[in-house]
Amino acid sequence: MTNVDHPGGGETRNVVILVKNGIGFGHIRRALVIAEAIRARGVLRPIVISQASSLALFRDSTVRVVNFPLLHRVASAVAEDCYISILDRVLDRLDPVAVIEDTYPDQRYRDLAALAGRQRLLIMRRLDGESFDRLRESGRLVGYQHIMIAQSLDEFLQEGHSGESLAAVLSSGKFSLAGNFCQVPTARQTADARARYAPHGEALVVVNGGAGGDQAHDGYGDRLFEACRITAGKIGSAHGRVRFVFVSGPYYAGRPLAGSSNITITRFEPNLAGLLAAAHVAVLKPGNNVLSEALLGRANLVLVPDASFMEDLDHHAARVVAAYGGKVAPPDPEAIEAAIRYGLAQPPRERRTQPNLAGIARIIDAIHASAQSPPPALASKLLFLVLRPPAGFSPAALRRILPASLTAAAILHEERAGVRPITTAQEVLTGKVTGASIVMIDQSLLDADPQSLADRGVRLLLSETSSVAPAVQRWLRLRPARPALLCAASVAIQAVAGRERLFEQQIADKLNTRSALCSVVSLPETGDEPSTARYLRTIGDWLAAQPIRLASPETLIATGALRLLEPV
Amino acid sequence: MTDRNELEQGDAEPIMTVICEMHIRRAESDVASFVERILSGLASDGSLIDIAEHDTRGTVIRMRARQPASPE
Repeated sequence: MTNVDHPGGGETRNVVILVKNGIGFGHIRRALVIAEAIRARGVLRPIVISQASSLALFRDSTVRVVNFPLLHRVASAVAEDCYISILDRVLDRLDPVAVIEDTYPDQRYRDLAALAGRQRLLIMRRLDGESFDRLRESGRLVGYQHIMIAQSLDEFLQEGHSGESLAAVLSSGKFSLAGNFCQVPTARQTADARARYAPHGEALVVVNGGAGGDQAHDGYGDRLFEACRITAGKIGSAHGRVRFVFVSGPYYAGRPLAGSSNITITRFEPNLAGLLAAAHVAVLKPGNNVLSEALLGRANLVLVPDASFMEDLDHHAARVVAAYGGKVAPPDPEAIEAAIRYGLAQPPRERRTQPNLAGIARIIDAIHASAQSPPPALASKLLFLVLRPPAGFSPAALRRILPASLTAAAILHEERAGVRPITTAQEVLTGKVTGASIVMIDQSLLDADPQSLADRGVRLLLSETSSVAPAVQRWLRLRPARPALLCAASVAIQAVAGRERLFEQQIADKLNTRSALCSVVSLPETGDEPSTARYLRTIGDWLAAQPIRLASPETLIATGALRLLEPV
Repeated sequence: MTDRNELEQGDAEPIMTVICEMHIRRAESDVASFVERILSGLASDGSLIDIAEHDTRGTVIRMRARQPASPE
């Protein structure tokens, strides 16, 4: 079972999926979809290590699973320590080439000795903006090599994320948006569900409140099913061809549920995706996974939001209904009845999502790439070098005399195909220059709206001073843009022909104590072309001999965006 | 929290077999061998090992297993 011992099968390396299930089942269902896809590729061996109170979801799983209790709920500190010791040893023996976690970084995992130095990936389903901010600002997203968000870009942008979160996700290079995914029922599974629950062609109303766990002590599940029971009683006498299926979830703890002539009760339905696909109306607590499964089918939606953990179900339900139709209702009998009757009166929903097979494939690709990552290498010091041409010297003329060692340097106001220009805010705002992602801070900046720069694609403001002016920081704080505008200070150097050592000394002094630096070098106003070329050649030769890499604008922006993941 | 006895009613939960117990506060408590039993229980696809069960004081951890169905 370790990576050395691999009985049967060609897979020889383990991938561990760490997942825990508190209230709903979505995390485990997602973990199993990923594990099955890894297994199907036949290169790596997936092992799910879960923390769950119910094993129901694993009843029919074909991957290897070790289930722990929810570690924050065990009966004693000694037991928790013992379980953590077991987990650490199991992981050490499995020696995984990659470790995948789901959505909520667990402090316990971060501190496990067996996970130190592992390739760690985080797969994250939708979170509301405030919750994402909390995770980001607490530094809990730092320890992952890559974070894959199970949303499309459009879906992610609708969540109301802060400018800083948007900048971190869109610009740091650490995140990818793979699109939402879930279990996709086969036509056979849908037919099986229909045959089992609606053998006489009844219209199915499927009711599911997640795994049945309550997020708050407000009796959500109890009220949801009671409201649906009352509705079923009323509808049953008027329509003989409607059948309600209550999937209570193993954690349901409300009043005992009793079936009737038109109500079928089940605590758990392993083929929930097929059942939802067979439904005419789906009454759901709109958690991410079950709602995703329902959206693949044609059931009319009745979404019944509840208090949630980091999901803001009220706003999400409203967005989903606006896009796919249906009703949002509280778990009250009158509202539920009206919403279900409305859903039954509608034809099957036309607008639905498509299986995101490409997204799953991308995630599996990323996991395999992570498992094959080359040995780590220390990064060179980074220097983002901006050259300001002297008066009368065009950027193009300066480009022509640049030595090869300075090819990656940026030239202020240069327009070159395939290269984003470095310019001033004013030129961007007046439309003289388009496509700039970095602008120099000048006096005109504070007259503008930060959002107008962000909307034009600007991602970073570069100061020609050693710190960003408080006025600029205040301007950004009071009028925050989405995505946030990053800031970088720089070392401003007035080049003097024949005094290249001054450049070298300033760069060395700064980079000896930090890993990255910006420098804006104003080339000599009085220099002729040969002396300017000589100056550039000298500093270029010096830079080439140092452990320094000239950074691209994209690298500078990514470096700034990564800092947004550090604890505040 | 739903009572575990209640959870195990009906067919939602898989049928599990108790493999062993570890008394974590006894001198002979052996985490290493417990871990080896977990790993040996994971020998094939579909293996399911559960160590979530423990007594109310958190002193005894129980290991249960479901072996994949034998091919017919």
